[in-house]
Amino acid sequence: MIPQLAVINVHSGHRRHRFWVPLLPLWLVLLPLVVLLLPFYVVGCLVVGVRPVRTLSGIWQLLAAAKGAQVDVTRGTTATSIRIR
Amino acid sequence: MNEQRRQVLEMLAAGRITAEEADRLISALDRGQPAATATEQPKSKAKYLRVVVESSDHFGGEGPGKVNIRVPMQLLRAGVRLASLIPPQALEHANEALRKQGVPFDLTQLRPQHIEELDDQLDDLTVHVEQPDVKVQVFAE
Repeated sequence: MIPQLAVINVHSGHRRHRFWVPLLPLWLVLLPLVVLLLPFYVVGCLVVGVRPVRTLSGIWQLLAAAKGAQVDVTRGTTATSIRIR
Repeated sequence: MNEQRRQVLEMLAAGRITAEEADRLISALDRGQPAATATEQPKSKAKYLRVVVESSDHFGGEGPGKVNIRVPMQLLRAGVRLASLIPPQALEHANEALRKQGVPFDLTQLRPQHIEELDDQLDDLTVHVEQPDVKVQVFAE
């Protein structure tokens, strides 16, 4: 399953903000675009000699595997954290 | 007969271990050392690769910085799988660019069947680099 939620934490001094960004709407918005670009993608893959279905499957696996990724950056009193769920 | 010895004999009687394994376990008990058993839990695989960079450098007076990145192992596996789909001529270009940067790594040798091997090696991976103002740690967890 591809990631459904990104949680962004921003901690600056005494202020703390937490954002829950649902990714599902983003995937739904991108879906028609992907369908529109599919013929160009297939032609491009055939031109460069890449198997389109396996590449698409690989990209899907890469997206699905992003679940659990986390990046924390702290600088002085400011801390930012992004977690993919 | 102590409790542990009795348990070993019960496991033998129940057919859960062989006579040789029972002998090995009893010998280990006699030596007072733990033994590897057939019923031992397999080592759990690492799920994440953690990269931690700590800098004591005060850039612009903002204070020391720290970057903590957790990469799921699945992401690495998927990346290797995807890299194996890249056409050889593109990989040659990438190899050339890596060589220019002083990284003599042959991406054409990267195969999906190497993923498991890579995975096992990553389990034991720990990189610790310490310099006066920067500390870098890479490990699997």
